[in-house]
Amino acid sequence: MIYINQDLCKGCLLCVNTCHKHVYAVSDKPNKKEVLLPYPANEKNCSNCKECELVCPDQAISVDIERNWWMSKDNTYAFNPNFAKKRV
Amino acid sequence: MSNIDEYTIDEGYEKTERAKAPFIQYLREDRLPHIFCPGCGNGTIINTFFKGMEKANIDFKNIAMVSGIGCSSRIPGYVKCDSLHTTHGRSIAFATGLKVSNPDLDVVVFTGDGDCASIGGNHLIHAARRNINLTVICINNNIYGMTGGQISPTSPKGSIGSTAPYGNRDKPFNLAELVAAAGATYVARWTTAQVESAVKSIEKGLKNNGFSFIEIVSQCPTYFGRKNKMKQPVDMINHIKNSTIYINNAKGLNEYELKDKIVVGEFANKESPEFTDNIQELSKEFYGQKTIRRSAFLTSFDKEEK
Ligand SMILES: Cc1ncc(C[n+]2csc(CCOP(=O)(O)OP(=O)(O)O)c2C)c(N)n1
Ligand code: SF4
Ligand code: SF4
Ligand code: SF4
Ligand SMILES: [Mg+2]
Repeated sequence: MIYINQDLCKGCLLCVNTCHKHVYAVSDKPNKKEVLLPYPANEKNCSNCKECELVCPDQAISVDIERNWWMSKDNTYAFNPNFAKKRV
Repeated sequence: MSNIDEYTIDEGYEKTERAKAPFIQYLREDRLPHIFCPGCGNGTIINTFFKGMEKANIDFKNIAMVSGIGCSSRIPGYVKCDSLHTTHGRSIAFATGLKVSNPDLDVVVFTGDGDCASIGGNHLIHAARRNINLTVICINNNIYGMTGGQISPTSPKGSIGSTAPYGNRDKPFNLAELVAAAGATYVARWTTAQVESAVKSIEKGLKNNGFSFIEIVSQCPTYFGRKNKMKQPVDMINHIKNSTIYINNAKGLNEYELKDKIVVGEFANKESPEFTDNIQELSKEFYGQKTIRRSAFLTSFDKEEK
């Protein structure tokens, strides 16, 4: 689950700019302070890299997702685990 | 989902620890949200520091933060640790005193470009020369943010500020090179667009026994951005990202090619005798034991712990 704390978020949209998986979208309705806040529209795309958590200047984002970018859905590696081994 | 209204979270989840950003545990939650403008790089640098601290395995309770005056210097006020908010430009001078009297503390200095390079420039170069074991994190937003956008010693040539309405004509300081030349043992420069590299440098700086200077080029959308036609934080961060060049790629380039570029990377990583160690050695040489620490409590050499 990706959670944006709407009391802390100031709507700078750096998270939207940072996410390489285009998880965030900008709301079209302003909040009480007339700011357009982001929300995680495509959460299923998230690779759990946590870059947005690190970049968010207001400590508003928490990414709490089980999956990793290196595991696919059927619990196998999403890359060849022997790629660094020498071929014989 | 097509709208924020459809994005709902149950009340129960909102109150769990996992719903909080990971580094909020080190901050004074009652003081949040902090006063920094939307999209100010200072907030990102708070996260970056804590991630570096966790990677370096430094005990958070052993950290003391020192800062001067400026937006960037307000960071220690939001952190749950011992901190010293000192006068403008004197953060490194106060930190030197703190480190000499408590050599076991991990002293971290948060300072702005105006704070450390203009009014505090003298303290900066001399702390680097003496190689005292401090970790200085300089948030370089190329402007005096707190006082309303005056030109700072690192403002790029041609940039506009409230004291330079026709553009800055002076050549800026290259802080990382200046501090490396003054003798600091670890110097790096990164930007808020390269947080992971900055984390690595903060980790190295905290571990380094000597003067560590990490300059992080940051965005001030409110003053620098607004005056230089980059009002949105995203515009500023993309501008910063597009103007960076790695130090190894910059080596063969001339001044004209490096115009408006931010050279990032490690500028120094070496070893040299440390200032507080030198004092202890001197004391041992002449008196046979270490100096009195915390002299407000101890009055003679006999009571000092060995
Ligand atoms: C002795 C003294 N001179 C001047 C000031 C006014 N003053 C306050 S903050 C500041 C500049 C801060 O700039 P910087 O260190 O770059 O911090 P920023 O706000 O950009 O993060 C100045 C000149 C002061 N407080 N004290
Ligand atoms: S963790 Fe990574 S992929 Fe997921 S939302 Fe954040 S930046 Fe995007
Ligand atoms: S980066 Fe943080 S403060 Fe900025 S819009 Fe995203 S959640 Fe809000
Ligand atoms: S004035 Fe600039 S440096 Fe100060 S909080 Fe605002 S954006 Fe940040
Ligand atoms: Mg500044």
